[in-house]
Amino acid sequence: MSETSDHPSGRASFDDGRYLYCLVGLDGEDRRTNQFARGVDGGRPYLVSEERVGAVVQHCECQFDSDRPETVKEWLLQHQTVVDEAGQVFGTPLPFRFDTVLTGDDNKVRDWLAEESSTLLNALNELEGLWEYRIELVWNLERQNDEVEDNERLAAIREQRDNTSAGKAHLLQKEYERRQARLAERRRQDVICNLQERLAELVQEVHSVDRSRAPALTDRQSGSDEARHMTAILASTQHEANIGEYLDTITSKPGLAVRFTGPWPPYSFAPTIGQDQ
Amino acid sequence: MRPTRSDDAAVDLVDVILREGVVVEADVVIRVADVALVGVRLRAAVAGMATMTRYGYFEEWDTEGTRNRGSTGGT
Repeated sequence: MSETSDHPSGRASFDDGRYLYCLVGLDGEDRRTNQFARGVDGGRPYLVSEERVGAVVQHCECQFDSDRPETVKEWLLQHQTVVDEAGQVFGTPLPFRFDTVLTGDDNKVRDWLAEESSTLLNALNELEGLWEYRIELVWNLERQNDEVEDNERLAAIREQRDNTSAGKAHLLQKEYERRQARLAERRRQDVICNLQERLAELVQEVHSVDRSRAPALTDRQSGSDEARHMTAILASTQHEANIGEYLDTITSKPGLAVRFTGPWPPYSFAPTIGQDQ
Repeated sequence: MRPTRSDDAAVDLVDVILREGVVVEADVVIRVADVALVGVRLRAAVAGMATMTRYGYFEEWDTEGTRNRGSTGGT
């Protein structure tokens, strides 16, 4: 194993390492030696294979870290482009999280592939032919508030508020807003539950994306006038049309917009490997 | 509707690549981009990307990604 140390920039550095893009499944007689696009930071990605599993890697001697958004953007673009290419050639890849590095040379990669071959093959088989799609629901809160105004209880409070003293009207207005917000939230949850129940009938796997896990990263934060919810699904491209048809029925709801993106490599459905070791 | 890989969608993917993907628990692997471990400089840079995207920085990515995806198991 290569020794790791602190790079003057603060990054971990090592004698020899392999930046990991993704894992791919290889057919028994597969001898494709794919030429990949330029990799992260100008590196040259290539395939290291061991039996029926391949790892797309590139040589590196330190972590990637930068405070320049343009640089990071370029690295992420390069990472994703290489993973996309691997997917085109070998089918659904198992994508690594950005900046995952194995310390050591190609033989070390092969040793690791051999050691974990059973786990890796199972994971590749489970994801074969499946891709990640993401469905974002965006509510316009003002329009949603308008929509719930016909609620009987809200109407009663409104009437009370409009026929009482200024002081009491203020308290009733606060209660009105609280109930309005609760009602709108309940309706949003109903939409999300219905969406995920319907999707579960159509696709392999469904889960909500917890955007609070990385508040400092790129998640678009909901403005005060909107609410957002993201669902990630694992599905075959053959199911895109059925999913799209169902989403069309949701977009007819006032004040609700739907974004349907993909297919992406199954980043959100990739396993943890070697956890019990 | 059909799924897209628009430049706006790329913002989500940036976050996904940083937060998700195969996680390896092994002595030989350095997993830098775990949210808890990612460098402060990298985190700060990425935080600025949402703004960049509004000005079209990801258009090239989208175009290239769509082209690459063209024959990848499409319907």
